[in-house]
Amino acid sequence: MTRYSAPLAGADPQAVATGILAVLREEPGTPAALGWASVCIRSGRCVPACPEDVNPMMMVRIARMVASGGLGGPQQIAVRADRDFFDRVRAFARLQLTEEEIRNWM
Amino acid sequence: MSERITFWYGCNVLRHGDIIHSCVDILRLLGFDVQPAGGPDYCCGSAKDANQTAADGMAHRTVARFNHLERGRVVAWCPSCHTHMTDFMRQAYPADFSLTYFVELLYEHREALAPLLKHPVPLRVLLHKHMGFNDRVEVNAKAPALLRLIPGVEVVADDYAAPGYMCAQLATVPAAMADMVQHTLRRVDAHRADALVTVFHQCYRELCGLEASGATQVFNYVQLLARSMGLAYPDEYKEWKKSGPNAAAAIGDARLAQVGVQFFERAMLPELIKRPAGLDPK
Repeated sequence: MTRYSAPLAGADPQAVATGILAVLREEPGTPAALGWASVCIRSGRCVPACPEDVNPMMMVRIARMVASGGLGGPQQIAVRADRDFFDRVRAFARLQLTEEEIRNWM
Repeated sequence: MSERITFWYGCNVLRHGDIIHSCVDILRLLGFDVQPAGGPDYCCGSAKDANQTAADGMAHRTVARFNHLERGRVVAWCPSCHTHMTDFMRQAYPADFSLTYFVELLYEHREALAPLLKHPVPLRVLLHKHMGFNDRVEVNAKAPALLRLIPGVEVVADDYAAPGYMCAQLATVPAAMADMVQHTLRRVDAHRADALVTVFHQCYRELCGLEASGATQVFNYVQLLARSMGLAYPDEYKEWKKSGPNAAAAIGDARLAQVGVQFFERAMLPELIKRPAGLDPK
């Protein structure tokens, strides 16, 4: 996915990884590190490629939580706010499940 | 005695009542004592990455509820729920249950499943595969093995796996989604496939827009299993998607009133109109 992120174009991989570690320490992330966290969609190809035998996918996943403000720190990347997420799920359920199923299955 | 399992279907698959009903029927026909559980009250919390206090509360509550059900095994439908349970929820809270992915369970019981697949489904299909989750559960091999049990189904051999672990994630990077859609449609054409078949409902939700646009037929694998078993639940989501701006008429006034017209128009209709990125309008 890195080719779909402008801040990652030409970025030094070691510097990007260092930037991710900074985000994990709840420090401000570099544009490239935040770019990686923003476009990671968990293909997992980084896991066997990592020479340090860590799980970069999990590392970036947690960095994304931190950069989203998930631990209470500043929000450093765009977050898709969907205020209707759960109400939408309930609404689709009401269209297709019986009242009894909603009562017993949800 | 039947094994008592919890069928954890998740949240977003509630768009696809036919898939939930079919899964429950299939599990019961295989002899399981099934308790379905899902929706917001059984959320894994993965939708709340930007609020870990909320995500933690959801994770804690859901593990506690599953423990309270006292069923030895939770069978997850959703790859996000399965992943979140494995990586976070069970790491934080003691779980008195094992976790199995739905494809795995069917594959374990494929010898019992095969005789239930009585009706031919004459389709040459391309399986829509992804990377990522396949490293946890070998769905890219096991799902086509299940499809090949259906009389009449031919799964074409193809080595392409789309990036990301499902299309809902991929759709957050629209240029990547567009590239994947175009690449996938080229492969459908090259294989002369009748249909594209998804493993995950998140992909089905995105890609059934291809059928709505006339690009190719799209199914979820469970829908084909169900058809072969004679389970006749209508795929209403696809019909609504095909209806697009006229989906309200397909749903009908009585059901629309249950969710509220204003809410439907604001929060539900946009996704029924939406078509996958990268699709040339026809």
